Amino acid sequence: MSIVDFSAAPHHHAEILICIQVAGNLQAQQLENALSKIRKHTRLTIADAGRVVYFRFQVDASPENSKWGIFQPHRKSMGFIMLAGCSTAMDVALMHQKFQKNKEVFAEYIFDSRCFVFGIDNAMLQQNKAEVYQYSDVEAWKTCDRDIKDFLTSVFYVLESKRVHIASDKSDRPPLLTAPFEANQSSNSDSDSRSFRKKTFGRWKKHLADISLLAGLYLEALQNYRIAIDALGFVNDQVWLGCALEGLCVVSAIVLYPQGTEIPQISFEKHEDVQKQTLDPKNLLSWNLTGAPSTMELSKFCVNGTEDFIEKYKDGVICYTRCQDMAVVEVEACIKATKVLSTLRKPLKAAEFIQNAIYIGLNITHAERITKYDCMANLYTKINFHRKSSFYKRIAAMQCVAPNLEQPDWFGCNLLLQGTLLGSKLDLTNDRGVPDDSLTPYYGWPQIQLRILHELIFASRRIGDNQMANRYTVYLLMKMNKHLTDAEIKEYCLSLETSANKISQEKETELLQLQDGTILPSLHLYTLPIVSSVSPQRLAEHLRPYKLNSSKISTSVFLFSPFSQQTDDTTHNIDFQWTVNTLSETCLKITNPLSVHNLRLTGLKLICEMKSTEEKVGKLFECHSVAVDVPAQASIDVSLVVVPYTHGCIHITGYEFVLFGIKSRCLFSLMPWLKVNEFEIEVAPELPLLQKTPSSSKENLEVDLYPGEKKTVEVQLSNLSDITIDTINVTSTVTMPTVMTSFLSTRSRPRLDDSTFGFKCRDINLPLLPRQRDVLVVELIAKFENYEDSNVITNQPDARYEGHVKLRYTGIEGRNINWCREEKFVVSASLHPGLFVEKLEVLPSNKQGQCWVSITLINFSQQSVVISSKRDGNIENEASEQIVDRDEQVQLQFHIPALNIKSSKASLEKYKSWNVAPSSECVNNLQTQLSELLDLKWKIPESQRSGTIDLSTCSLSRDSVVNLIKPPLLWEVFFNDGDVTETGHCDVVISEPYTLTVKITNKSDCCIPSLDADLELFQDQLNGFREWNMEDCLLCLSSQSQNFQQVEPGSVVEFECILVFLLAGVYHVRLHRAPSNLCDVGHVMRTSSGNEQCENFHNFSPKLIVSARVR
Amino acid sequence: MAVCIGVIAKENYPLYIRCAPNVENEVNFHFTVHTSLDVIEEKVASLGKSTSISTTDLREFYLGQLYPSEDYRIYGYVTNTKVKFVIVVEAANTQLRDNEVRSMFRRLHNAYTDVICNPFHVPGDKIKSKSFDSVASSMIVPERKKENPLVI
Repeated sequence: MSIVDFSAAPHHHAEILICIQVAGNLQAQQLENALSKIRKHTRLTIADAGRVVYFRFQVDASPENSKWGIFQPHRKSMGFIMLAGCSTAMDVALMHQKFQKNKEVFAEYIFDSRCFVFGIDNAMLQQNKAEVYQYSDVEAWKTCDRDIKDFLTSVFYVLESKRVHIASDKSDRPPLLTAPFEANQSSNSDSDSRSFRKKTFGRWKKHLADISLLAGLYLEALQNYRIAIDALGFVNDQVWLGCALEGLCVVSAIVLYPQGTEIPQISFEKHEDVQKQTLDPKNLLSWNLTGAPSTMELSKFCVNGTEDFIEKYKDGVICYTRCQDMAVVEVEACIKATKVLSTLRKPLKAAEFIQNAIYIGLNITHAERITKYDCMANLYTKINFHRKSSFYKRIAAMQCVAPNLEQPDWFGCNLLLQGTLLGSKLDLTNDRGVPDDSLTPYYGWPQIQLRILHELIFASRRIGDNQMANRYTVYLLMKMNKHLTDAEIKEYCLSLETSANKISQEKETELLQLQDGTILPSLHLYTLPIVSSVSPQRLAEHLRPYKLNSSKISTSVFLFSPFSQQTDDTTHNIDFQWTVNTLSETCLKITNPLSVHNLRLTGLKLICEMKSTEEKVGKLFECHSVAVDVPAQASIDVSLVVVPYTHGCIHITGYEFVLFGIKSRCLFSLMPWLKVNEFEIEVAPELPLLQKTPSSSKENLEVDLYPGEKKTVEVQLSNLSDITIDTINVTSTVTMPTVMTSFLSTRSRPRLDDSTFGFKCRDINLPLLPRQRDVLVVELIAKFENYEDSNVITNQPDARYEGHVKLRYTGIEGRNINWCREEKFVVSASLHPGLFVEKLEVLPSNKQGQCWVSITLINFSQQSVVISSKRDGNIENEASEQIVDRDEQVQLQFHIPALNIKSSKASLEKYKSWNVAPSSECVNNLQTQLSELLDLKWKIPESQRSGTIDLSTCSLSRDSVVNLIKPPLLWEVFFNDGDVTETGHCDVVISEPYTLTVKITNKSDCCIPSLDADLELFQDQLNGFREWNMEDCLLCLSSQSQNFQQVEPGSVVEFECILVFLLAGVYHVRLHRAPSNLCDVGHVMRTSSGNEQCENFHNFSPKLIVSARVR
Repeated sequence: MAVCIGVIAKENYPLYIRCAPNVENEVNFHFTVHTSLDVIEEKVASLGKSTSISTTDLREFYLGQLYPSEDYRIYGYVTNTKVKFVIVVEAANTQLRDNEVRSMFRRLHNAYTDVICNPFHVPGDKIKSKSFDSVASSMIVPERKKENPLVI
């Protein structure tokens, strides 16, 4: 036997082999139909015998194998079917002859035969011969089932009768059964010896077991195998012992592991159809009336578990190895064992059998050798030894194109090589990867993978499958470029480029399919090149949209909540917005991992999705594509542009490009190194565009100022868009370079924006129509500074300030949903040193309700300054105009009426309380009043500059503030009806009564709930001593103290008493307010601590010096 | 004496492959070592199954002969960290005993431990250590010198 059946399976032992031959001109399709009709009958229930038997149909079964029928009956063709296609009657006759002739070959083996002739349905031509059937067509073969069944049943019965014959044969000296190769050896052995008889007995029992197995009698088969093993083992008949052991193992496998034998039909509990049928009790063949034996019964005779199975099978194979002629049987035994063991999950044991099978020397043809390696590879796959499998597939592939072959089979080679992909861990469907990183090693066996891919590329090119070759090449470049030499990379890239040019002219690339049927999904080059970072860019400042009302509405009531952190991180929300119809950029960092070749990407653009908030048809956005060249081993930054056409939310989910003719769509969600699935960017509605013209920022926006000067700057603005601007919101802030801070007093630093510079922008005429212009007028006022610090450097260069003007503007659409744009520009102003207020002091005046203001000014400017003040009846000063030369100072003095506190009721209440100093608001208010009252102006005649001197920013001491405020109580003193308020002095004659009347007017805004007035009388002895004891000197004819309740604002109360001076002298008369109720009155603010309080109070008390003389 | 020594990472990629200097087709040894991984994996898996938890510490690293081939015998060894060592010996070399193979593996394991102890070695990188190389080459069959033709 020379032909190895590499598809050998254990269940073949239990199947009766039927040989099918095809003759004549039967079409392939018809043949296929006929075969499938026949092959349906692999399982036949013999109701009479109560058996189920199995058949195996083999086309062109070798008669050579049938010679081994004695040794292993399942190898023998027991039936012969001929399928013939005929068109003429002559053909039929020829076919019949052929049938007879072919049958002859099998004559000594077969039990029955049939010939089915298709193509002729002429009853006249019907050759009335047994075993020949004629049909017009395969489709017309209606009696197929019956024909085949009859045939198979007939075969079975012949077999069964043989079995019965052997089983019941009691002949004394049966002939020795021999395997074909033993035919010569048997003759010269001693036929009388006991061992010979034992051998003969054993062999017959083994043969009986084989036939019983074919006839569906498993129990008998098992029993007989057992007997045969004992007998053959005794006489050391190696070959037959091996065969009996194998037989036992195979039946055991069929019984115990039906799942492993690929014939699930053989299941012993399920022979219900047999048991149900009423069996003919008279039928001698009726083997078991109660039905088939159960698995339990059978397993008693089977091998004892898996270990025993392996042991016995191994023994069997070892027996075979002892005989060279058994090589084919041994290989097949190994294959069968492997198949069983693979289902039993014993891969190591199975591997041993395969290993053994590989090294069995077979005298086989080249093609068979390829089949052998392929078969071994498939067996390795069965036990999940994919590496081994791939190894043998590759060997088989190499055999296909062995150099000594005249016609190398590149197709076969390619097919087999594709089978190695799994074992060498080459996953062509996987286009992902991680960027080249020295920390993550390459998980694969590069030398082997490279070799296989090289071979695959070569084989694909040989068979003209350029698409597949390209696919392998791309895989190589994408995943394994680290392991390629520069020359290889260059070569592969060039080959891809040339084939890309061809493909682009042809049709769209279609899905590729491996020859095993795996469809390769379209490839996306995720790592060739690698995009290592993606960052959507903010719009340029003047194009950016802003929320019109920037009031941030927090979604949570908490300032911080840990739950807000749990939002989906993979969607990268971006805190800026894009605008409709504005080019928006996203920056991609693209790296070429190849060491030599430039990658030329074309059609590189973003993949976006847009969820519009409004119903809009047509394009929601447009992605602009670019072509870039990424140099070898370099990274470049590429800006990709997208233009949204509607407002809403745009999602950037990936990018696409074409390289080597391959269109790749790469999604961020599949790029784990990006850590972002998509970018979500809000798109604001279309907004107008306002721009300062000319747009160069330096133009005309610089001014220089002296303190107190005012200038205007005109800025031309034009609406560049097609949208009418109907809202413009102007705000401005001032910043100062930090270098300049030392020039100014420390006090003024934190209040830069409102104290140093004043910015005022006049409104623009709205709406501003498209393509129209308007002028924005900006007013700059340099405010005056108080010059306090003695250590300021006066020769500092000019201080520069920057006024930032921010215009927020929008159209109707934008305003409706609160979006606007900003236009910013800077007005820079340099502040020259000019006049500074060195000191501002307010001194009390001797007149009630009046005060002295003293201002000391220093001129730090380079020129002389003329200072002028307002001429007014209320103000007294020395001169209306005064010239101050550079670096000189001048003191100005004004006598002015004290000022009212103009402030709200609330702040008044505040300053009434004892400890609170006058609020800064009050002071500012007073300073502003003072500035307005004095209206000081300066002028530099040389440079024709002028401005005002603003005192509102100067600091005032508390005393000055007190002096500046108009006192809340105004008094008039009358002495004997003569008004002595002004003079405060009068002469009297002793012993005469004098009436003292003090009229007190409440000038404040609030009601004084209680006012205690106390008259003090004393003599000042001008030596620091006051004589308070006035009992002998004067008489007071009424109460010396008086209390007034509820003194309303504006009302007048009178204190009156009569004094009689008894002795001549100088008397002091003072009206004193009881300190107890000081807190109720506005005067409180003048004091803050004990002593000072009294003094202040006395200074402001109505007093009178009386000179009494003798008449 | 071995003809090929291989060290394979936990993830089954080669860390070190060294063949005898006189071999013609080095990739064949790659295939040999690579295919032996199937058996190693299976053996390790069955070891894991068969040994109970209490005996995991005493587990045998040495896997014995992995599979026979016509020309070579292949031995395997697995460390605790699932790093595999493979030694390929010529089948003709019958003097080599199992114990000797074991001691070769032990030496390899020690050398590998030294490599790993190097703070500059990144675990998972290819082994480039000279000392490991010298240990490995000491086990490899030295190049057979071609006999000089006799000078008459």
